[in-house]
Amino acid sequence: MSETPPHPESFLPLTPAVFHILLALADGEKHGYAIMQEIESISHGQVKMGPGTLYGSIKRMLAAGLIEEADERPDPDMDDQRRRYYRLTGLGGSVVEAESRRLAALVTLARSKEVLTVGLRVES
Amino acid sequence: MSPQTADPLSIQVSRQIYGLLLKAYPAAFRGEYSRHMAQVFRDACLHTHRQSGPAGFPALWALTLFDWLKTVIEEQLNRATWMTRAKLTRLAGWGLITGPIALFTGLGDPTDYRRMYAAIFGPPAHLGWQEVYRFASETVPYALALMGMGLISFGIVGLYLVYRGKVGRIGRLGLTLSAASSVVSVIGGACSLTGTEAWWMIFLTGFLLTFLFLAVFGTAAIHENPLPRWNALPLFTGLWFPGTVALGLLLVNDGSPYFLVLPMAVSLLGLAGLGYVLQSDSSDLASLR
Repeated sequence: MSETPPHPESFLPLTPAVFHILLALADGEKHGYAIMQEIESISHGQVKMGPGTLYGSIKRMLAAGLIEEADERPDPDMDDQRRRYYRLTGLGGSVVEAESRRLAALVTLARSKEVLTVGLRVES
Repeated sequence: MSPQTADPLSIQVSRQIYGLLLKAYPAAFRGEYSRHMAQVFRDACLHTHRQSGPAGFPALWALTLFDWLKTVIEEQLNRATWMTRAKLTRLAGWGLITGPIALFTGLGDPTDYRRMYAAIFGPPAHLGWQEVYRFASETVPYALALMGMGLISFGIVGLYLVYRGKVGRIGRLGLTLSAASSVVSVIGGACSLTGTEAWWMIFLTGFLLTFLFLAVFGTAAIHENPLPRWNALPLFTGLWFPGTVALGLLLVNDGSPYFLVLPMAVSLLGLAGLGYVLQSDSSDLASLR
């Protein structure tokens, strides 16, 4: 009998590092540095990840089946060094969706309690 | 000339230093990821050099050193935890294998043990030795039963720690309550030394609930397959003993304790089977690191 994949909700809540990596991979496979750049871009510079955090998270996400290795090939926009690419698995897609819904529900709750007003930019 | 030797001196020196820092990571992690981490660090250095020149390097190094220190500690602790977890899982597996044997042995009638001893060694000759012999024949089975329940409890807690993340809410609830009930049973058994009837009832209730909640986990295991093999075993083990006792009470109701023996033995064998599964899973855990 084949093993049933774990529930996406069993992974929640995600750490910020894992969530950002999953988001970065949501629109296609990327290598490590591209993931770091994407995270810095989507967080407007607020989340800066070092190589240790990146690959520590990648290791755990590979073990959990959230992402998988694609292949090693050079990035045409960079130098000709071969780089390992990663992509989301089906489970990873379900998990990032579940986490996004959880966070959206929290935002809705914050708005209902007038902690977060629609249109007000909250400065960190 | 390779692209890397054409890098500015500040980047070459930074890469050399970072290469030394990478040696602090555990060997397995290093073997898998150090090349990629060094590559990413070089990319970050090139980006910083293009954006800010050498003036940008203190900030880059501050982030890098903080990241390095935090993740070296994490990876070293993770490596230690994996080794501990594999050992704990193996020990918990042995608990589920040996605990039922000790429990089953300990629940025997002291009179039977005295008869067995006399059959093998002959009746004790001296009065003092007779007293010791009587005391031991009553105390040792009790100690065996308590030790057996303790080992089973340890094994059930091991099942909880290993498989709680591999089942949904119902399965997790079943494992949690089974582990808690087994601990309650051990406490009840230990405190029953005081002779209070209530502690004996707590022991029995905890014992029964351990199996019932194991069956709850078993219903989830049938569908979700958290175990590497024999996913029907928790449900079988959990239901067999309470189920046949309840049936026996309903149908026979003659108060005879003997109808408990076979179902208990089957359930305890089921626990030993789960212990074997846990053992084999601990080998897989150890091989991952």
